Amino acid sequence: MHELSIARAVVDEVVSSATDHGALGVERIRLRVGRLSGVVAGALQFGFEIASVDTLVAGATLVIEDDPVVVWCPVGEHTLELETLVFFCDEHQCPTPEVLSGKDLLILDYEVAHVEHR
Amino acid sequence: MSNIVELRRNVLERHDAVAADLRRRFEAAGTLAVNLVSSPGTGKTELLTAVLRTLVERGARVAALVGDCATDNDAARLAASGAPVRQIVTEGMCHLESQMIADHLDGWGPADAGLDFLFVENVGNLVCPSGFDLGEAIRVVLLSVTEGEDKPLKYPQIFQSAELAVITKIDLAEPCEFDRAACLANIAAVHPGLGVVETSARRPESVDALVDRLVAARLQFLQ
Repeated sequence: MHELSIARAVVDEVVSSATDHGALGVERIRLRVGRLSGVVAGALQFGFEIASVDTLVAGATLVIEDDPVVVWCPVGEHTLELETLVFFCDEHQCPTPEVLSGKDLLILDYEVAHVEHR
Repeated sequence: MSNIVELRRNVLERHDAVAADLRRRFEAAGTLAVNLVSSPGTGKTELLTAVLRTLVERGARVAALVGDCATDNDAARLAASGAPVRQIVTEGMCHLESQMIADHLDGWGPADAGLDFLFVENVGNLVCPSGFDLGEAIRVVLLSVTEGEDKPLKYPQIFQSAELAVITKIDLAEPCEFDRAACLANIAAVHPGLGVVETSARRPESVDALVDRLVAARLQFLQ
């Protein structure tokens, strides 16, 4: 359950940034998680609920976008989005070792509920 | 009032920064760092003990860090090789993180004295370690003939992230009815071109072949 570590890292980053912005709360956090990052979205949601308790981001909705696994087909010279993690181009019957995306584990942005006026 | 704050930040940025520091440190010292990952029971410790012993006999400066959730049993086993070993007890955590490596290297005599090879035996787990960079030069994923040929298909991320695959316990291939061709095909399916070495800790010539490969990897690393 390494997703708990990942969730803690998400909470730390957003709390730190939101504090700097004088936020009183966070509505929503948007992440991009690729299948090659090794993180399971469901487990991350669960981990976030635990990690966010009693923090500035408690109660925030975690929105997890996919970073599709895209590879390069060296025979057909085209990109290909993989549905399963089998690195092979069926059309050109060749392996596709070059991975172009799918490894992202990013915090894209977050939505602040209220901003203190200074 | 509500507003959106853009971060576009890697979640593991802090971990990755520590890993990058370690990598620079290893490069400067000429140390090939090897991260060993597998499920529990693959034979990481047994094989690593044989690899360490072989490298010690060849006169290389080697050491190992070993991660375990609760015990120091593996460190005691590895130390029989004659190489210095340090245990990292993760207290239930399912993977090693770069900061743990940095903490256990700091002030450790063998690491300060300079190493040709540093092996990091990760916690037995094929899922959690895949996203955590430890500053290693090569990640080696191990699977044994007793585990089933479809392991790469079940855990594609870790195989995809590895630089070398090692099949262990090949002395048991026959009684386990291990389908070698299927296993190699499955490794190739999730990581085309990944190098594969077949070993048994009980067959010294297979350990030698793996050590030769690591020595070659280090020479390439030094260039």
